[in-house]
Amino acid sequence: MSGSQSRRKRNESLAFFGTMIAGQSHELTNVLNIISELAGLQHDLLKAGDDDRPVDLSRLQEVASRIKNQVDRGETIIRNTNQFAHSVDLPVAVFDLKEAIDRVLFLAERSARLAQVELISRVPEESMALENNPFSLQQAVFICIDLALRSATDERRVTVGYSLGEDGAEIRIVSADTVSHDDPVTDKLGFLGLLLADLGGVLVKGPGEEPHNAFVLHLPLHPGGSSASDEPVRG
Amino acid sequence: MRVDSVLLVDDEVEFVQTLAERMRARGLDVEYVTNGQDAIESARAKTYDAVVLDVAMPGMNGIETLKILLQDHPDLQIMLLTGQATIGDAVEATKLGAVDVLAKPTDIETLVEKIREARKARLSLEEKHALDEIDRIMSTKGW
Repeated sequence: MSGSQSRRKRNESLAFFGTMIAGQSHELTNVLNIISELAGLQHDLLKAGDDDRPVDLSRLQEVASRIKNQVDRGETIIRNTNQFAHSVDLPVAVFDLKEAIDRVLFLAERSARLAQVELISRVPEESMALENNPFSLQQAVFICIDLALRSATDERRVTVGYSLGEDGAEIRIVSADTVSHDDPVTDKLGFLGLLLADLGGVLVKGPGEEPHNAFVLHLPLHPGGSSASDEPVRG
Repeated sequence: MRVDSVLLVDDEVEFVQTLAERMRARGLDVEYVTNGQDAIESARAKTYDAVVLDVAMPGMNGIETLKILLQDHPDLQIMLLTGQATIGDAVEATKLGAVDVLAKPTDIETLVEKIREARKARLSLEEKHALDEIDRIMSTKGW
């Protein structure tokens, strides 16, 4: 990787990290705002008792249960954000591809909602161990999702899944709409190629090819590539 | 006596439902929608004393919605209520004609008070327009 490519990778990675963390902080703020209003509603319901009106216990119980749901939602946001933040800890690590893709889908959900696109998971139930750079892999998948979201027109559905090939994993990001060509200024597809090369992977199919709606990423099971005899670890 | 009417616009359904319930308990006539397009349609169908608008929403965001609402109803009293506003958003919204930019979570009594003030402001603008119209008619008649 040349000096300018390294600088670009560093800048793009920092921007990706910032976008993800900022998005989740907004999501967490939404959760806290809901909890704040629900706590206010509980207070309003309890104040009825001060005015010698009966306190509606069933409503209080219902509001408490809604608060609990929001706390659970907040915990999920924090757990995913924390795991994402720790994915930069090691340049190469053994990680579960299923968990990594599930996490990208979770983090991308906000972008999808704001873009009014349905993000559909076709991630298999079973785990798949991969030895590679988990942060760069998440970044590569997110670039594809983001380009698909930005191109969504009529159908507004993007499906993400993966399968095990003979010598690695194949990750597919498929839009129900045509994915328009990348902006030449930002050249995200060019950067995707750079990231995949760094991961020892390849863009098997991009939106430049018929039917112009899918990304297929191939990644080896190990950074230096793998042979067909390599057995994937399944959970 | 007519009660203050307000339209809440926020894509977080649970937030907007709960806020609406609390405001109704304080005697306000509250309706809510969860996107900008529905806000524009609601404001075309009914006159509100105030619109309380979120910024980050799917589709049309709060700033775009604000622009269209004010094009349709220049006297509409619109306040932004957001958990994510930057100082840039606040300046832009105020320049465009928002009467206030409030940060979530906001104290409900403060919000209700601001809506009551918004109603007074809207009524005085209506009165001013009516007087201007009378002046205009009188001057065309040479009175």
